Amino acid sequence: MNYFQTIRDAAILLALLIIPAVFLRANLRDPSELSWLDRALIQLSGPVQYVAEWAADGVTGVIEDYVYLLDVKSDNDHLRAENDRLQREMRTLRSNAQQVRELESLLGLRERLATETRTARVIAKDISPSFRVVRLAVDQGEQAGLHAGMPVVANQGLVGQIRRVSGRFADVLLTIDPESRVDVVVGEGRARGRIEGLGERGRYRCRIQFDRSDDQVAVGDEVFTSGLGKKFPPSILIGYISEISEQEFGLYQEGEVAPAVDFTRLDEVLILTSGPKDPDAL
Amino acid sequence: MQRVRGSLIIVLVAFAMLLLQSVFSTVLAPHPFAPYLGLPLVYALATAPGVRPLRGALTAFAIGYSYDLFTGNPLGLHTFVFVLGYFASWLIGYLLPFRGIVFEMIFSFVLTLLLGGLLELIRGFTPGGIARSAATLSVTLFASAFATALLAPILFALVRSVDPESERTPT
Repeated sequence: MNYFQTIRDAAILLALLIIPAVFLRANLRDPSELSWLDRALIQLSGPVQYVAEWAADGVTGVIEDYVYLLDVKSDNDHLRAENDRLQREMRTLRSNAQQVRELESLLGLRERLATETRTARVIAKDISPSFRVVRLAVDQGEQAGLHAGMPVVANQGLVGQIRRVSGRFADVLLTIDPESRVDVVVGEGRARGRIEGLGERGRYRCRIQFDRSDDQVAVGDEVFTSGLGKKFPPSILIGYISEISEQEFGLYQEGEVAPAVDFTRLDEVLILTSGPKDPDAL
Repeated sequence: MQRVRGSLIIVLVAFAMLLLQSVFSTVLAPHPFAPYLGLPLVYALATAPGVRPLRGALTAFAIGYSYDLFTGNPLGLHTFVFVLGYFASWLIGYLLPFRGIVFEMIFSFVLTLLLGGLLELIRGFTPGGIARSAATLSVTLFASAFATALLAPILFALVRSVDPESERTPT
């Protein structure tokens, strides 16, 4: 390095220290005490500083916005997960509430029946190709003292009777099953008759045969158990007349009954384990 | 050309670190442990035997100037202190033969404490500046110097990796 280069470097180094010091002095002075040189330096540095600060603020803003967006994304993920959890909880609570309503309803039915009952949960349903329930199984069996023929009821009405008990489970013969026969009374006129399941796989229907051909019955009349033979307690709702077949010269008239029970929605049922204590309870 | 590139990278790194520090300050460096990330870069250049003083001082000037623009301080404050810091550390580095991680940490702690004090002193003269108690100021200065010293070896190594002329002489 020659002499001039050394002098040049030394001058630049000195300038690097003096220039910021001069600018700093100008910026630190009270505005009322500024000299013409200070004012000139501030005038010179002001726009540069403004542009540079604007650029720096822009860069910072972009980064801060990006960080903010990351936070928003994180918040969104968190809220979505929270929402899913709450939705699940809500569904569970609704299901529980529905179950509680059904149990309360069964409890009310039990009190109305005034007979010894056993609550059972439906654990299996055989479904026909037309999505109709053709068979039920419940989680009570021999241990609960069940045996074949015991009436099975739900809050809406008669479900059927126990067909077979095996161990801790029992099969239920539904009122719509062709093997099911129940003695009934119909409507306010108390017309007597019998119903038997039609066993149709596409719809829930029973056939009803009236004892007398001149009984005044109409579509929509309620069909109750008669209590005859003491197999079923009297006055348990079975369903509603859905069709009457007029037979001009017949000895009896017949029709169809739509069950009151929605077999697809059954979760809990009551099994009547003893005969009715008070036949007029229902 | 390689030297200029090295200096440019160091200035950009200093700017990027300042940017990150300002955005993530509450997470990365909570008050009062906010390090002066630019100063160890200046010390590293000043104590590197291969770096010419003119280039080192120009780099320190650029780093200080970017700090001034970015921090909203009076123009010249960081520029002046960083260039002064460069000269001081160059002189100490010239006089002391020691090098190594321990030297870098102690060196950074002492100089940062002094230069931080100088910064605060100059800020004290700024019209409308915020007055702080001596105790608060001391705690802030020591905490900042401590945080800077902790990070100094990394920043020294960073300078060595981007600037081929700033090789460290073994102790």
